[in-house]
Amino acid sequence: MRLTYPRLGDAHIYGRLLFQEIGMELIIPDPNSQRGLERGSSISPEDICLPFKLMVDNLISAWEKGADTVIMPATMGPCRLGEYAEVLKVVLDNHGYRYNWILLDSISAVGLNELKKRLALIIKDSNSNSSEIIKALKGVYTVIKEFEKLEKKARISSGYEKQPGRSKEIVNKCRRGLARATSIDQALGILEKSHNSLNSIEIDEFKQPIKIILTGEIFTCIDSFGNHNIEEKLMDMGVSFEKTISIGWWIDNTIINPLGGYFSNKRFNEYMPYCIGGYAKETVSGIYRYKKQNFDGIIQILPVGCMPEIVAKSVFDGLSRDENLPVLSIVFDEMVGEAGYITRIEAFIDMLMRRKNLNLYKGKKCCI
Amino acid sequence: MRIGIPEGLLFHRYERFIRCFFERLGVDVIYSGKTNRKILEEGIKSCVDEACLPIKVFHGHVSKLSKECDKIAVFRLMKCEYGESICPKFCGLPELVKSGTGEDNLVFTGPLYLNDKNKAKKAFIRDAKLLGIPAYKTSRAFESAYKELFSNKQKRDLDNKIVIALLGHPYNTKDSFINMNLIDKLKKMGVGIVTEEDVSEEDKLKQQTGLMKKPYWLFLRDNFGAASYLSEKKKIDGIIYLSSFCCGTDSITIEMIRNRIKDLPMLVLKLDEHTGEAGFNTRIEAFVELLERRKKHEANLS
Repeated sequence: MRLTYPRLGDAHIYGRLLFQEIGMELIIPDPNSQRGLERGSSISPEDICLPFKLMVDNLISAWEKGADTVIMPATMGPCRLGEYAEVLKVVLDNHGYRYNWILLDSISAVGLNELKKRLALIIKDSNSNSSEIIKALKGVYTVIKEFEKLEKKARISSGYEKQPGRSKEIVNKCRRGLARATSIDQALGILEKSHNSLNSIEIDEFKQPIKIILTGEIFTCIDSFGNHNIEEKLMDMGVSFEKTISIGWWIDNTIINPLGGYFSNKRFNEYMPYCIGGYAKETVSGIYRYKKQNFDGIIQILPVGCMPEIVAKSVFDGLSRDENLPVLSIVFDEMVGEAGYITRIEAFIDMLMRRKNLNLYKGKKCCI
Repeated sequence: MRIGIPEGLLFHRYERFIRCFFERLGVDVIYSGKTNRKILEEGIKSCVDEACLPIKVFHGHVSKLSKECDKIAVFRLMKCEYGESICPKFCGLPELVKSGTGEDNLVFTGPLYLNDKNKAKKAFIRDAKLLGIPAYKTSRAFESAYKELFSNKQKRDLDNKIVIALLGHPYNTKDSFINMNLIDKLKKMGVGIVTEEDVSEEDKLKQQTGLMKKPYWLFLRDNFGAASYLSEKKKIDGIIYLSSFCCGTDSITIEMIRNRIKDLPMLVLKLDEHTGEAGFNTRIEAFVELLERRKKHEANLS
């Protein structure tokens, strides 16, 4: 049994580390590319969202490398992700890629026992015993958390650094190192080194960079091809930003501590009182952090046709009209013309800068 | 106090329930009436750009009502009567409408789980209390309206030469403005129409075998089940699927139906704000002609 799963940001790095540790092989699909996207969309249904098309291509390329079993997460809706596996199977079967499917469905759909059975199926070929597997899981979880801490720090320091581009460089170097690491211990070593070098970069404490919240649909937030590398672009522009959604956040919210997710759903949010599927509520709650923590603006990213995020966008539209909230919604599709995206982001940042300066002159904030 | 009820989205599906409920409640109710061009234009103006046509039409209905009444009922349907969910936009409908039209007087916006009778009743009672309607009154109205949800739907007998299954979301298939009088047009051509309402619940459920997981959208379940059942029993000659442009759930439904029915002819009609009727007519006519020819050909062969 040769396993694979579709790419999602850096998930393949973590997956590789985990399976390596328990003595199994994971086939990693080729990186997302324009050609791959074209191949994926040529056999996908027409109105499906962007992640699906990329996943089709991922699974074809994994098939060509010899994979035969797909691990696919699924939910019980109402977002489209839950039905992805069903349609992926139909599309791929029709074109001769006859995979076996292991569907990691939510407990509410299949029950705990069935889920356990499916999880056991994944590690069937491994020689490790359960304590070793738990140890590996713990190790990978630490790697994810540490790497995300590093990314978080870099996103903030990119606005303050004296030598532009240093923080970006450190994160990218660390990511390359992790992708090559042969064990979890080595990965942790790489992370520690990167943390140290990020801590030692020169920082200009008097700078007042634009601070932004980056939020939106989970796939485009996590996958750098899906969002046209928006993070690196923002870092290049010398913007300090915070991203609310990441793989580690998702793991915390759904697997490690489902109660935390439950309570955050119950938390009162006057702009979106109920969870409507997807992560629209989390997107909208960015507004509270914007107000409390002195951010300058919000960037919301979503793939075209994403149903929950359209509701979030509508809420943002209303707020930007009524409450003067600076928010930029960027909708991504198969188009690769990056110039348009860059222009819009630049114009938004310029607008925020001007706004900030105006506020400074009015004496609302302390000026040095 | 006058409550307005927009005749958009799932109003057509739950029409009997809604009418019965408000009649028993004894409040002054006004319905927004059938969709027309003015409503559509109002809707396009106020709605978020990325939304689909039915949502825009719904915004139009709300804008129309906001001039005529004090409160507008916008239901937040989380789960349907069989426990299926719908598109996420329905769960966030009050937010969508509020930020789109700027209308603040929305009522009955509590989350509705129609599959759980007590929960739904409580939600209605809570919402009605905000309007000053006592609980016993709401409870009585709800009890009598709830029966309507599961009451038998009408059966049609078909003696037409050609029978087509008209599938899609009820707000597309039943709103004659949105679908440009499709049903009348088909009837004029002498085509018999069946919809998913003609297929019983058990038959739909039986068709789910062979799927990896149980579908969780109402419209996926209804349309997929109906298409699969009707084609298996050879009751239809073709399928017309009405879908709105960029519909998230349909992108999946259509693919799954196509895979199930194999080579039964299926025409997918996409609806958007551009109501160019000529192109629409041509496609329907060509499709019906194709079915007629196919039928003749089959008759010759046998």
